Amino acid sequence: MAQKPSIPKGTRDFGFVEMAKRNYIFSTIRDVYALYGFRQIETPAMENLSTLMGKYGEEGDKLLFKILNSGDFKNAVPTADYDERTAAQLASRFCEKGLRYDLTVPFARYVVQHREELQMPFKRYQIQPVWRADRPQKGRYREFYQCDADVVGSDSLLNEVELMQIVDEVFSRFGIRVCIKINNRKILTGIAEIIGAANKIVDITVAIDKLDKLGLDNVNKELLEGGLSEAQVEKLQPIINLQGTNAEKLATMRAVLAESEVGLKGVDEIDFVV
Amino acid sequence: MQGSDLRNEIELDLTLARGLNYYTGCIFEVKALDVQIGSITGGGRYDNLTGIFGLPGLSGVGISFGADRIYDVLNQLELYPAETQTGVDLLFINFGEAEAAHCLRLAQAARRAGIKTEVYPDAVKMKKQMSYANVQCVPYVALVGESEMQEGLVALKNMQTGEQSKLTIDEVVAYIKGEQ
Repeated sequence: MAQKPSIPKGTRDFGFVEMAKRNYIFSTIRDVYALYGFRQIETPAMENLSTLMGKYGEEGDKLLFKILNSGDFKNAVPTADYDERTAAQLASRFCEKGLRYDLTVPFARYVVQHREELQMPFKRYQIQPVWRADRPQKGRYREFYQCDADVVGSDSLLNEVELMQIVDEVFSRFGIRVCIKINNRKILTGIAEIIGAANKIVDITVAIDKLDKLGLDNVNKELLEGGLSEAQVEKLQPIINLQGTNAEKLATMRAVLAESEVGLKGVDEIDFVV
Repeated sequence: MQGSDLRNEIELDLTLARGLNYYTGCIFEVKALDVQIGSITGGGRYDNLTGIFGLPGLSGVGISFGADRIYDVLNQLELYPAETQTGVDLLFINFGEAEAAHCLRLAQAARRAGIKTEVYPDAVKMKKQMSYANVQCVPYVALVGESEMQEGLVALKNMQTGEQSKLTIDEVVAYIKGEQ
């Protein structure tokens, strides 16, 4: 009986109608990247597993697609070892290579491997597929494209400003109206510092995010239930209620974070970029 | 920053906490205003990307456009430009060996002028070839039979209006380019 043709779960065929649209997206992004001086690179679909393992956390390691060694891979591992080892341990003996999981880690590997030839700052862009052994769901695929641009070897905030301009230009060309949300890790660190709850910063941002939905009282209640003290929640009030223009928000943050050097640095950085 | 002159708004949002362990400075995320969908672009600064490969102290900042979500947004808002939806501009009907050989030369001339052109490969019934043109939404069909060959002309049919006119290949090129 003839086999029914199919493709692996979580992968897609793109017909010519879809490809015309996808190429329009990729070429628009590519054109704008090039306009800002980014240079295109490509890296292989497969990397050595040692490059990929341990870079995406424990969960990420499980989602790597591994490539079975060619030849007599089975004899490389004594059968006696089969029972004593976990699947992950055996996989690392049977597989030396894996499919790229994102474009960032291969790029980091590329920069280090080619550091003698590269002039810093190095601005590269890369548009290639990545593979993740995720459970396929609506809108989540096992093979999909990423379109990344990165600048390495420069601390200047002008890079951030230019990335905002790229975002603005790309979506203007598409005709999509967008809002660019910006934050700074240093501000979050600063908030944790001033209230003395470094491990609570994720809970705090999650709670603030629910302000529109739950209202101020419920957000405060959630924070108290999450283990913050009355005094800590009190200190957070200007942050939870943060409103107004960016300038007004930054002025509030500057006052709240007055005691945190790192927090103020975050405010300055945002001030420069917006 | 003064002078960066953006058309879209940037908004400070303290709830934005993507990849907390990874980023060390600015973090960005882009939301579409007219479609309910998650973030369509994101990025930020990281201070030790290459450290794990033995090159510490290299700061970087990057962005990533979410092509699949952008694809959905453009579909929902019907924002694809017309040129992403068209195939070939001109199809030569195949009337037989001698005509096809002649049409191949005319097709080359049209292609060199930048017009996407096909010559139907088989000398099958006219009806079948026209139906192919219809399904493929080819806007112009060139009919070059024995008499057109002798005259050095092309009978060009506009598939939308049904109008037909006899033109030289240079006139065909100029006409199609003028319409585009």
